[in-house]
Amino acid sequence: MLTRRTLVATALAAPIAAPAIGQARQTEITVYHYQNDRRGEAFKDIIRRFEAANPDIKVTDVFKTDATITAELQAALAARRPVDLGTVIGIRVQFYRMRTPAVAFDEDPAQAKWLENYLPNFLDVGRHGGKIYAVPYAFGTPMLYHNRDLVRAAGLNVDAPPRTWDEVIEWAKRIQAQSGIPGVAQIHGSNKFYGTMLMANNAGGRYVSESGDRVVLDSPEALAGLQLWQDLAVTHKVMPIANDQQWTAAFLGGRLAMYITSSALLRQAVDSAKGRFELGVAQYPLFPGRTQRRVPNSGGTFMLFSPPGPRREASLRFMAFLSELTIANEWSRESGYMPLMREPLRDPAMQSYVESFPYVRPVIAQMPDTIATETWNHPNALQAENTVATLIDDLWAGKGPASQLVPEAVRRANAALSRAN
Amino acid sequence: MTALAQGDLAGLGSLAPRRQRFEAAPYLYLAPLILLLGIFTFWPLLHTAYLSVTSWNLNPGVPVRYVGIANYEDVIDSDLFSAALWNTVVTILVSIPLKVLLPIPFAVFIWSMGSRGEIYRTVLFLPTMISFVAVSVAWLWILSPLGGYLDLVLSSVGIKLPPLLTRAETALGTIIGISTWKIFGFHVLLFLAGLTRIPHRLIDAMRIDGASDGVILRRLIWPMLGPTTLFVLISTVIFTMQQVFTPIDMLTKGGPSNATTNLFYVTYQYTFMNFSVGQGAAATVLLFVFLMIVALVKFRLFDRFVHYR
Amino acid sequence: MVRLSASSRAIGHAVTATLCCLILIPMALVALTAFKSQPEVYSALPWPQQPTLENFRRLFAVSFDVYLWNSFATTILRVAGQVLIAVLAAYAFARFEFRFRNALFALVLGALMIPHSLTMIPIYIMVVELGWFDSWAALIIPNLAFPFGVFLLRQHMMQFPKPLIDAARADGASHWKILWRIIVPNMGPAIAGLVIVAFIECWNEYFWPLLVTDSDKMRTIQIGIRRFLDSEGVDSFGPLMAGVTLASLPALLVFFVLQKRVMDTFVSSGIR
Repeated sequence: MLTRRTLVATALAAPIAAPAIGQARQTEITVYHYQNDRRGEAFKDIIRRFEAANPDIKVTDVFKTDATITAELQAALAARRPVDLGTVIGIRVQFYRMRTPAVAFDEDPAQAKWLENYLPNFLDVGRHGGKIYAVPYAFGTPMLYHNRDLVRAAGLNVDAPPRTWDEVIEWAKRIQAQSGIPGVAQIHGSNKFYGTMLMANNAGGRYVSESGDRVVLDSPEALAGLQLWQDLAVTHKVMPIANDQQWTAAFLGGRLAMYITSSALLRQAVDSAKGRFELGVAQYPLFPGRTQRRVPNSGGTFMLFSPPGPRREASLRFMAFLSELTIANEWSRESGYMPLMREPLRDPAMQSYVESFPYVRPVIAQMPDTIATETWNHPNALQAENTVATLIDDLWAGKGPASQLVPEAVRRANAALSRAN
Repeated sequence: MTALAQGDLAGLGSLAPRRQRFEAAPYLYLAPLILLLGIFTFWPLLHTAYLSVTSWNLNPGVPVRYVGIANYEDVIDSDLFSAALWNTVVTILVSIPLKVLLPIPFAVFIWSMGSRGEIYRTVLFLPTMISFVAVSVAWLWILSPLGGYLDLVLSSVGIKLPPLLTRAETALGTIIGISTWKIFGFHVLLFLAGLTRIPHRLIDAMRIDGASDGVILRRLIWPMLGPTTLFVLISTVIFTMQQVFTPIDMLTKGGPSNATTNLFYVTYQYTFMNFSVGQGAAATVLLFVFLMIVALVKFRLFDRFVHYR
Repeated sequence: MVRLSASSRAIGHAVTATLCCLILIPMALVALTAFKSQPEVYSALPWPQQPTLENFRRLFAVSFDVYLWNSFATTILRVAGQVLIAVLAAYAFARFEFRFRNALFALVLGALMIPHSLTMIPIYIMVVELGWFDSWAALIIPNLAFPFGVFLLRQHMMQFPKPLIDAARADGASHWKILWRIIVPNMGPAIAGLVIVAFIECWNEYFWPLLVTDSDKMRTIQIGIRRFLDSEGVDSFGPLMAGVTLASLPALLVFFVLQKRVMDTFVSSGIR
């Protein structure tokens, strides 16, 4: 029963804090994400603190594995289940923008001041028509993880890790000759999209055209990048042909000398290596002859699906909370993802973290080199992606040099793109 | 569908003349099944057929667009689909001797041992009880060329394990091998069940007439196994191929170079990886047509070789 | 019983025993590796030198107990429902003549030919609209129709000796009584076999529970295993093998229980 006092209090509070009505009725928002175990706990912890600070909002988090979240989110939207914020992998952002009820975070710029906290290059992935449709929260950057014990055993200088791909190949050959353990591998991701883009970008090219509807791997730069990838497997024979799961497990088990994968693996790699081998982490190698490193980020963004009204407002408040420097930095520390805000080291907690956990230094050093993940601006890119994935398999199998295989595959991929509706 | 039913019903013999009086009982017994099938199998199937001529991604905000046969053209033209079709045909052709015919001699041998064969039967059947997720993970570990168990053992004698699952030449064979490992014992059990229905007195009678084991196998056992063989054939194509989805998804994702995708997986790739529901639905309908053709061919062969002994 | 010649028997034993080894060795390796410590997972020695439960501890840290319970309970409920519905339907097909019988049976066979993956999305939407999402109902009800079971049981019921039924009929027994008092009790092996098959299918299911369950409270064991493989960084095969062992154990136990029943009934079946 309402007493007169609470009625008065509510009436007084209403004009000041708009969502005060929510104290009587909580607004519930649903967040889809792919963080489990340690990261999941850290994320839930942040949610609990947000709820404590905003008692009128209840956040329900739904975990889906990273392999299935794209489909799950799609299915949830299709079934009209409540979704307010959902994880979308970088390359799918524009697809979701076109094909789902996603809305821009800054549709009402007054409610999106918090966007200014983010590094502008990190917001590029979600930019369209001057609006921001996707906000990073789980970004990784590719790092050169290496097994320092194997490096030392091969008589190499552990304190001068390779800076260029030529040096990586040199190290891999030496280690392989000495220990018999395979030299190096690089994560490729689903449909090999990420690895292919990384190779092309770092060599100065692109996978998908700026317009997002054509494959442009046949540029001289991209071609050189792909040729390097083939050389690792075929000419130098330092890259064992396997998949991401096998490479990760092998590296963490001490059966692969160097592995290029997301900085998101950092915490886990440190834990796993403990007692097994000494872990080293260095920046992504430069492409031969280039002085600038260009690495696309990997990982997930949040997109906004709330209907207008209290749910959208609550979602934006949650995003604002996530982008507070101390919260964002804490999330980065606990999860292993890249810090996302401008000048993350303003925060003393972050500073002492970097000092006590030196592995994260190359990650922070690499942040300015991070470029936006290329995205499809085409509703039907599966066939093209598939053709390119097949091309990479063929390259690794040594079916022909890149100069011969790539243009043919690009032609077929583009034919499929122009045909598909 | 009708052809399939006729093939099966042909074995029933003639039906008794139709009753005059209407009887509700059979319909009541059937009601739960028919209701459930209608709601959860046939209606969704019709829905899928409808979606195959539209362009839609299932989202409420996006209007459904009628596109005619465009989806079918796209799917049929694609490298992905032709690879899937080829792999599916190869898988079926390899699976018939491996999963349908090979279990028969094992079943006959175990059957001939009487109760002493139980241990073999039990062991062979074990993999059937283990989920395909578990089987896939186990083989992923054993076959990993980087620190997998087989690699560890082989490298201690100086042999390098080839990357079976990531090389186009060997990937499909490896997937078929893993699925055979899983399903073989189940088929042996089905044939054993068929064998136990063979009356002993018939065998004894043939033996008294001086028939050799070979003759008994050919003239009595093989024909008596007919219904079981038909059943195993059906289950091999549908049951097994559908289950193979799990190892494909977990181990190869259809690659490398599309070497392991199949008509089931392609449907998933279109619908869930690209959300082209229309194309996924078109691929689904094509898959359905393919299954019907396979079934027809099988019943033809089956009628010829088994029924008329 | 066929008696094979001594040489065929020898070959049979050799080949079958080899096959059994091919089945047992990987299973043993998995089970043994589940008890290995992290570094030992990468040792060629098949058994652990210092057995540890660490891998299992890691599993239960992510609520594997709940997953096990969900798998177990939904499997039992679903299999019971499937078999009941299949028995009723098979009885109608095997023992009655009625209009549309062939058409309806063709429908059942047709359903047998329709892979689950073809109907997944429309069912998903239906489940959500019915409010069954993330519940046992979603795991159980859409899968209660079991065409394979109908097919199998019908075959067996048609082989059921007619004189027995006719005798019961003459004594004035109803259809319902005949089914439950005479036919079903004599179909032990067939029903046990069906239970095994239904159990396998349900316990193995991966895609469907992934689609229609959301929370840790409703997840099944298969997804639990996949979870370890899918974590952004898969770290070692130890917990995976522990998960595989754990997920396989109940199924194998149930098999051994039912297997005995199947064998008993096979042996004692005076009526074919």
